[in-house]
Parts: sequence; structure tokens; C-alpha cells
Amino acid sequence: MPAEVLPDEARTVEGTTALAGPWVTIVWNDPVNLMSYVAAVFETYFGYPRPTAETLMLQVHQEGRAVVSTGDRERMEVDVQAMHTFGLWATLQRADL
Amino acid sequence: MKAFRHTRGGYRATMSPREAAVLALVVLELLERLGGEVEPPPAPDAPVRPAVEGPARDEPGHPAAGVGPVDPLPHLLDTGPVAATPPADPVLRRLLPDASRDDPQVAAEFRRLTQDDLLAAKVTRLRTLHERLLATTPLLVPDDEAWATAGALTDLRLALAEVLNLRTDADAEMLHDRHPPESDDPLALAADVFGVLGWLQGTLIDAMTDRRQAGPARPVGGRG
Repeated sequence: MPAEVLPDEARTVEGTTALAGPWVTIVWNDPVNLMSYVAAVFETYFGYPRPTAETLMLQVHQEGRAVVSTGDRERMEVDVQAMHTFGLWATLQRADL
Repeated sequence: MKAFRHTRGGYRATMSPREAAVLALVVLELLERLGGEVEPPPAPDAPVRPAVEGPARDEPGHPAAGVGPVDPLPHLLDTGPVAATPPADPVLRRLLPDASRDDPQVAAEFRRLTQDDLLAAKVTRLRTLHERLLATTPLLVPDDEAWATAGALTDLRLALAEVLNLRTDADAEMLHDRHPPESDDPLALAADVFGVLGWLQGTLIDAMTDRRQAGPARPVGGRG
């Protein structure tokens, strides 16, 4: 999957929203993982319907990244750990970044 | 080598004993690399070694000699063997990536919370794959090991990709042009194994997906 270099995102109101708002899990594109594998991971781990899993996989592939889940920070840490276990590169961040 | 197919008892891939032995060696190589990263906890009575070689601080030759006692804070903050910094080995960094691109604190806390478990999970499934490669021909992966096997294959490919310096899709597409099979190129074998593992993993994923779509939905290792 093509790796695109994205510009750093603008960070707003640094430090004031640390305890507020939801977090997101982002999966980033990499040149190694197979498209079929990434879609199967999204389908089986998150329980997404096949079309949703494939849409998210294509978004990772074409746009370089996709938000794959939303929730509180602890929940996102669980999801990121799962993605790393599967060998996908995932990060967590506050949803408002 | 033939594609994975689902049969009674699990997923089977026919391969020659020699092919299985080569793959087992690649698995073993990564296992050794991962094992080397896990530092055993220091013995309780082990002497504390200075972090920097050279004259001791209280010796005349040390730049800080006579300045005062060693700052105790680093020891107070030392939480033990749990790592908060990325591994030095680039292959390990690829398998245990940062969980934040722009917040070192988030990345460090995540690493402290998860790195040991992540590494242990990866080592366990690589060991299982190694045993299966040496135990049976054709390679047999029981149903409940299919995801662990797919994950182990991904880790092997990630590690090889680091060695092959694959950064973009273009790198991946040009892999066999850069490292022609059966050439004198020192990375030709790594490139060949990377390709074989990708093909093999693809057939496993396809077989798993076919089976999932044919039968009732059954989440595997999902959240919740």
C-alpha cells in the first residue's frame, strides 16, 4: 500500500484538552501488509461488516491512514495494542487534534 | 510450495521438507533477535554497574570529581526493566512501533504498558510456527492457530522489510528488480523469502476469508 507523507497536523490549544473528549485509533499505511490481511483484521477484530472493513482498508491504502475506532483513551490503547499484535502500525490521539 | 487450503483439522500448505526447513530457519533468526531484546531482570545481589565507562565519579580523573554526591534521581525514577524508550534494533522498532507520532509521553506510556506483552505474544506465535514447520509436512495450522500464524507471517515480513529497506509501495514493487532472484546480490535470498511469505500469507488469508463467508459469523479474537 502506498505510503504517503502527510503534513504534521495543526495542534490546537495545546494541553487544555488532555482530559476531555474522545480519542481515536489511527491505522497507517505500510508497504508490507497485504490488503486482504488488513481488511480481514478490521472485519474480525472490530466486528465491522465486510464492506466497512474494505472501505477502511482502502482509505488506509489510498489516503495513507484511517480512523478505525473511537472511544476513551484506555479503550484506544487496547485497540492500538491489538493492531500492533496483528502487525499493523497504529497510533492513538485525541479526536480533536 | 502450494497454497493454504482448509481441510479437516485445519489449514494445510504443501511444501517440501527443504522449503519448510528454510522457513523454519528464518523464523528462528527472528526469534533469536527478539529473544536478545528481552533482558533478564538483574539478580538481587548484582553489583550496580556505572552507566558510563571511565573513571569513577569520586576518582581524581573524573570531570565531576569533588563536585558532590551523584544525583540520586535517576535511580528513584528507574521503574525497573519495563522499557519506555523504543528498542535500538530497527527490526524491533518495526515490530514494536511508537503508538503516537507527535506525543512522546503517550508513546512512552503505551510502551510501558504494552511492550512486554506484545513481545511475548509475538515470540509465542513464532515459536509455535517454528514447531509446526519442523513437525509436519504438509504444514498444518489448526483452526484456532490461523490468526496467530497469519500474524507471525506478518512479523516475519516486517522484519525482512526492514532488512530490505522497504519504505514505500514503490520499494516493494521494485524489490525483485533491485535484488534479482538467484543473483549474487546479498539480499536476493531475503527478497525471495519476503515474496514467498507474502504469497503464502495471502493464501492463508483467502482460505480463512472463504471459510468465514461460507459459515455463520464467528468473531475471532475480537474486542469486547
